[in-house]
Amino acid sequence: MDNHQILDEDEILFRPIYQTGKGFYVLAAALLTVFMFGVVMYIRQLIFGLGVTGMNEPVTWGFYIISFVFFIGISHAGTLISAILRLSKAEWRRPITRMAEVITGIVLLIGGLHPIIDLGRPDRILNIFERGRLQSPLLWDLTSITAYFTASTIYLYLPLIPDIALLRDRGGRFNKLYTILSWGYEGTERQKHVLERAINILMIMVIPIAISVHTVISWIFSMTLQPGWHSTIFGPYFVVGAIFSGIAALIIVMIAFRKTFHFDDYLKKIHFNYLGTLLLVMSLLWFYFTFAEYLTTFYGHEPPEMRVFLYKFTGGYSPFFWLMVFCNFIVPVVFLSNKKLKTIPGILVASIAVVIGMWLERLIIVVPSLANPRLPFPTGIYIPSLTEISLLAAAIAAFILGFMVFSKLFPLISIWEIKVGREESVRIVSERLNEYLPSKGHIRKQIV
Amino acid sequence: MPGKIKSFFGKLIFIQIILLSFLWMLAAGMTLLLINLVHVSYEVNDHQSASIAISILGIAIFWVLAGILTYVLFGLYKGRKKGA
Repeated sequence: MDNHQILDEDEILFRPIYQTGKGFYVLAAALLTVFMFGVVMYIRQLIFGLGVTGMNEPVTWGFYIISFVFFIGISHAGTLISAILRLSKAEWRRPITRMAEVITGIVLLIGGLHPIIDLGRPDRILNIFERGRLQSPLLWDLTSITAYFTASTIYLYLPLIPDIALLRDRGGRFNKLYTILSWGYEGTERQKHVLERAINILMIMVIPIAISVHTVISWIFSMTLQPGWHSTIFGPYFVVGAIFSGIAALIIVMIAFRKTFHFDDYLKKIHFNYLGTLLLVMSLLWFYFTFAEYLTTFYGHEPPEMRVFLYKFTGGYSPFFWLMVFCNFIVPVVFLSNKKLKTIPGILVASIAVVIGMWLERLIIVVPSLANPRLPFPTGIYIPSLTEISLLAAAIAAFILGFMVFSKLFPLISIWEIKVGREESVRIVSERLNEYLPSKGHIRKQIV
Repeated sequence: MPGKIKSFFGKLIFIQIILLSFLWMLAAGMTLLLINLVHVSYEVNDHQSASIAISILGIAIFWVLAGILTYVLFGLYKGRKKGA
């Protein structure tokens, strides 16, 4: 691989690593403050117990579990979308796969910590190792999330190796780190072949793992007999929601970095157009699943189920429910199906709405079912405390901080994939087209 | 000078192998955990077959992942330019 040529053409992609503006430090300090406040509040929770949260009987799950489901859902942005785009040989994927894969790594770490935060005595998690029961979906979740995190980290790392080699060859700071992580990569044919083969195996492997993760999370709810949770379509419903929120998060991240680092030449309108169309399709699919889920509940009219149903539609949680429908369906459909509104700012508005809407969806799933249990309890009340709100803010701050740290160490856009795209995509795509389409001679022969 | 370069590469390979061994340790740790949980399910006579099925799947995934990374990292070493 001719590294110098890459440096000349794609120098802008290295800039975030070597140039740090004042704004970076200001934002990092602000986010670190929010994060540290969250840590202090968590220490307070450790000292005083879960009494400092808004959770109580019968609502024993709150913001922590909502954020857990939400963040794990966002993780589908990365590896799953990247793997599907690679598998379908979508050439426009090249500048976006890296950001997508980084999202997965960071949010899995953040999301995976939430069930531990939800424990009043986190040390008791060690009981799982000694006396855990594999019959519990909670343990399936532990296994599948650990597998997904491992697979995603490897899937992020392997395509990063050629870019780390470029950084190593440039010299400068962190050179020892880059030398260790590049594993002697020099771009020889054999090395390229090895890397390509491993990425191909991983991209096939990672898709069922990713789908299993959110399916298993849905089973934590649907394997119980709680009204509003015991549903056969919860698995696919959760997977659809996860991909939906993942695409929205990816678009937001892409637009933020495009603006900050002037990646306009790499992240073009067409990328947002394609992702916007995907977001619209997922919005319609999400609406279809939501409609199917609630219609069957309403038609069955079982009293405990109807208590939860009415609590969401007309009761205490109706403002959140209808805001969720507005954010997840009305806004994306209006902005993404109208050519005039489907601009980059329009797609950003739709994506922010979807992220908010999907967080609300997790709220709508978790709290109303617990507040209206099958047993004859009065309706439960859940008001999140400052501890829970500050830990949610800390999680969001950690997500942004994680991305900022990554941008200081590695390129946010895969440089070698861009180069391969420039050199080989036209040939590969035209070869593929020749395979799909009937030849001109064949058509002429038929006419004659 | 060649001695210094040799010792640098020796250290480099050592660090890289340690990094790789973390993944193998995770795979081994998950295997031990799942085997222990299958053992617990036998002890309390609680759906052993389901535990075995989940364990086989879980263990296989971790070993395959560790295998892929090992294949890549050793493949990259073998694929270096001659004399490098």
